[in-house]
Amino acid sequence: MKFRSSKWLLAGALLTGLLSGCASTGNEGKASTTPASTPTAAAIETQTAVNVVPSPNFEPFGKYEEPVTFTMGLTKGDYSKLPQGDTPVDNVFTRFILNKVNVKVEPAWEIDASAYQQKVAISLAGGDIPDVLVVDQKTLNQLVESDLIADLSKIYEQTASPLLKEQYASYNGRIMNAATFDGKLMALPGTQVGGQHNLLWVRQDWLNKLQLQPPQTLTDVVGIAQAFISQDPDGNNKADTLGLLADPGIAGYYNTFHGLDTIFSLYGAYPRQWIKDQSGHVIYGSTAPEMKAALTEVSKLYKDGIIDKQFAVRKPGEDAGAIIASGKVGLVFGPWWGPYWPLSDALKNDPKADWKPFLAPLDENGKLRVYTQNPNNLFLVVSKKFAHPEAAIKFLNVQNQARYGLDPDALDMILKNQGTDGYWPIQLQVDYEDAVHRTYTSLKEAIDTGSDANLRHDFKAMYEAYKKNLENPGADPTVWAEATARYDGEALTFSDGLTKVDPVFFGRTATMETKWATLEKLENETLIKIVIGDMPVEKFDDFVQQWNKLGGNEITQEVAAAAAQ
Amino acid sequence: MRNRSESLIYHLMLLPGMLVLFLFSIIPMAGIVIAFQKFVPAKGVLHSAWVGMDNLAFMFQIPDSRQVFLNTIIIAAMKVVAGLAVPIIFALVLNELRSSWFKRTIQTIVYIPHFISWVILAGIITNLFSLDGIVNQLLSLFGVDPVMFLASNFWFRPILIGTDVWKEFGFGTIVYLAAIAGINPNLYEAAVIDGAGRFKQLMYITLPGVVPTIILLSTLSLGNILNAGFDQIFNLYNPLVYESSDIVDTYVFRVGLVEMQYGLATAVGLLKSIVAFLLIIISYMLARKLSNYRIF
Amino acid sequence: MFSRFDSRLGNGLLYLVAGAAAALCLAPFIHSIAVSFSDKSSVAAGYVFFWPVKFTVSAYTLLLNDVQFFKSFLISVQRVLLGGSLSMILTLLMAYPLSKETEVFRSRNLYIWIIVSTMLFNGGLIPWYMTIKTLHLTNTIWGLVIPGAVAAFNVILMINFFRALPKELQDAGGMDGAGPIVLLMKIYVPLSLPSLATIGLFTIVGHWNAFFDGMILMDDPKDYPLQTYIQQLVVSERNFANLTVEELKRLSEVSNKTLNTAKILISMLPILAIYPFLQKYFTKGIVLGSVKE
Repeated sequence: MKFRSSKWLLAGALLTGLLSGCASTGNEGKASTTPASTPTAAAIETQTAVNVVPSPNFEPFGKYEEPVTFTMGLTKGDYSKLPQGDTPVDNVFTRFILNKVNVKVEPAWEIDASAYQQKVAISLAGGDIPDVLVVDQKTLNQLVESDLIADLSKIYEQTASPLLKEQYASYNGRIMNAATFDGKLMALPGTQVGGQHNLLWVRQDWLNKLQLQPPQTLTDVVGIAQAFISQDPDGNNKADTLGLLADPGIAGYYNTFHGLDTIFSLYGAYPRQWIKDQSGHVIYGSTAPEMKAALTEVSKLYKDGIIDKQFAVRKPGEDAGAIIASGKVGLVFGPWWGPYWPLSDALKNDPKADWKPFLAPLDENGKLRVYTQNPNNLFLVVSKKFAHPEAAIKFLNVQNQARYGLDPDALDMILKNQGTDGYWPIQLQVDYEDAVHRTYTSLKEAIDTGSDANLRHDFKAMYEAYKKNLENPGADPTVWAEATARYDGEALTFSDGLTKVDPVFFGRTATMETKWATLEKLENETLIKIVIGDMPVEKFDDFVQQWNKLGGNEITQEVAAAAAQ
Repeated sequence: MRNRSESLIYHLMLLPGMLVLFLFSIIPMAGIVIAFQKFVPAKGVLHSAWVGMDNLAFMFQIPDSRQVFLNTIIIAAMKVVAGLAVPIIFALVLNELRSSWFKRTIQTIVYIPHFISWVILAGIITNLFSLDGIVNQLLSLFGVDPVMFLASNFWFRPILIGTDVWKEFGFGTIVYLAAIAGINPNLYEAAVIDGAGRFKQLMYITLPGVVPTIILLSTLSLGNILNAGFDQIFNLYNPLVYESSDIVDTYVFRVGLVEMQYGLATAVGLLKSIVAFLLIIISYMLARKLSNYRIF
Repeated sequence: MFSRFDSRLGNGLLYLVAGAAAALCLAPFIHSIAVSFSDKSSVAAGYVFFWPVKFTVSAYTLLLNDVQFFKSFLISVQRVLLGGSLSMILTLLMAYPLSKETEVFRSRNLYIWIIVSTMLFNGGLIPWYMTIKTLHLTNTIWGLVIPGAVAAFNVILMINFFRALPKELQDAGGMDGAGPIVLLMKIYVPLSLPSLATIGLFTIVGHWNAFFDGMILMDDPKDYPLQTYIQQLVVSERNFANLTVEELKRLSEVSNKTLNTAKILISMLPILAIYPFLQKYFTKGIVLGSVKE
């Protein structure tokens, strides 16, 4: 897929997660105030210049006697809101960390996300590794193989904060494996939080107008689509509304918009996922026998005009976003965050566009079948040459603690510096697997009790948004997005109405390196051709045969072996 | 004696430029060895494993290598031909325009698309050719049913070539305009005295005047015979038109340059360079032999 | 009679062809202008074609506050000035001796083939970067200017333009005893204004449009030249389906197709403005005219 292939090139560096936020609100008056206790940059320079070696200090929040500095390769973030003179490595947040544990970051280089991988490769090839680096799985493997990074096992045990450990533990052992080599922990894994599966987003105002019931089964969904297509829900007297949007990749891309994943899972099919079949064998979801029935259904939906005729030539994201924004569609699959983008764009053009999430289409047990994603994202590694690998972990400790408002000093710092934006330079997300649901639970508690006193400081804005939206629903698209995503959307992310399938493997095996491009091309072509009717569904069996012959068999065995470990 | 001192000055004149080329083009060519390695950045060029011709062989071993290579050559060749012909014709058309402000305005306008990236143009092109786009609307005036152009293996290549010509012809025209401007005006004066009309002047003076430039640019454009235009295709294609538009570069991209398969990418680059180099040598020799004309 | 009619018809046809081609080429430009003056949400919905919808200049007001844009703009100007002049000098110095026949300058063929091969073969990103780094040119404007100073294509083009000059002028009897540099400056350069304008334009365009070297060679995004700065906007814009919620939020605030389009348009202006200026050199007869004076 055109965008998918670049997906993790960019995602690798871009999916920087929750840590990237800037805690701030209005009030620019105090922009230049720095805590009095923070040493000035010049003072630190002189201290390091004296070259006093700080004693090792493995306490999670223990402060070094002398400042410890590590160099790091940075992804260019958005610091347009930093006050004049502040930088991503010298701002209220980093000064807070310096004050707390006496650790600071110096950029080895900083680069736009689109060229991050190349810059990393260049650094490595030149033997010019920064002290700390955030890398993807493949680079991690290579770094371990080349013996360039430090073993963090012991340091992790000693220095990682309880919060960090608890967050990792929330993945039930699914997270550390990818960073563990021969029993040694070689990196701190970043996490991808769960709950980003597809919901069905529906224009509630259109449902009301056409007097339709909210959807549950696939039949309901199809009925609604038909009504939206033929009964002119936008009332412009033109037959210009579409049914269901779809992705040219059909399904199987987690955490993206307009994939048909939940229709496939209704038939027990999980395209593009490595799963275990009923007999416990590892199988590639796109080749599972269940696919046939699912494809038959989906191609029928296309033929009947339920699915957007032109989905194949629409650019994923951009084009679909435009259709949603223009109010030409009232049904789309997507994760809970949809209101932020693209759904709020619809609201900007039509304040009545009231998108609501539903669990649909439900299976015979009344559940929505979803799959989970790779909990691993990026990895923080420390160069072997760096004398204080624990310093990087401390940095992350303080950073994470502060993000969660668990450190009263941090809260104090953030409140005191209200109006001054900070920036966390280590762009590595570590969070609970059910982070989105935790947000919802505490938000709901505040709403039910009518008080945000117990709410985390960075959640208070959501509470405000919820209340504000209640007064005047949809009046402010940004407020609406926050309220709808966090309250309506997140409510459905870890609900009882879900049945979850955990894929067993996410990485790349040796044979994949040479054969996957061919197999994926075959897969992409076959899926889309069957859906649009260029290829009869009977050909699916030929596809499976060919897929196995061209290396699929071999790869499946490798994956099974890897998954068994 | 005079010759030798002159040669010395020539060498000296070439020195700074050659130094730049030596430092920044020739020394880095050592990196071509990556084509024969399973290159791992963390290990560097010195410690990466040697795999011989594996990387080069890879593109020929994949099941659809025939399709991918054919697409590459067909699309690239058509672009090379169209990309040569249209600017020449357009330069000649411009040259015949009398009104100089009109000429300059047109010249500046047709030069604009060169500066707009494929990412942006792709959005516009997708719109133009969509079911409710302008092209289909025009066709419907003639009673033609709407066509999904960008999903059609019949139409996709012509669209690639057409839009590529459209983007680049204005920029390509510049060289020919310069060549025409360099033609000795005495020739035209003499032709007018001989009673030659505009068409004859075009055929017997202007055209022959730009022939060396045409030959030169044709030869140099052979260097692109395996470059079918990654950015354009990458931004416009979809799985339905793989069979008519999947080229070596898009394939290699999907294999994953992003996964740092530097070996494969370098090998493909090397293959392209060798083919281009051979073609250029051949056409150099041909020009030499047939018309005793030295291209460079 | 007939021939006059023919020629009028022919003229009309020529104007029509040229006009139509220009209209086609103007379309994306006008579309971009319309987008940059339209309201964000109308653009997101694809309502804007060739005329602004809900006209606003907010993109341009925002642009005025973007310090980095202007910083990068200046870096690009600096790059074009330095790089353009360096390239022109090197190209002329190389093209002159290489335009001589083998009988006059025996080593020319060797040089030519070396130059042609640098046009075709390259060792890829990593060794290229390492050379530049070894020479301490990373993070300097010279790193953007020197490595690409000699474009083989331009040199070859220049050689051919020089060889197309009338032989008698090349030898320029009056300048007996003058050295190659004097001949180059006094005879060749004034005779080659159209070709110099062409090569100059190619060089300027090359420097102005280059974005990747800036990204790789500059360790601090503050030093990005303009197109590097622009590129990162366009690239991140198209991948939004894969972003996290925090980034989507930020995107909906920050990323802004109208603003980005305005930036792209402004970044194109200098290069569009420079062409009409150079066009006066593309006039028939200018070559001889300059010699007679």
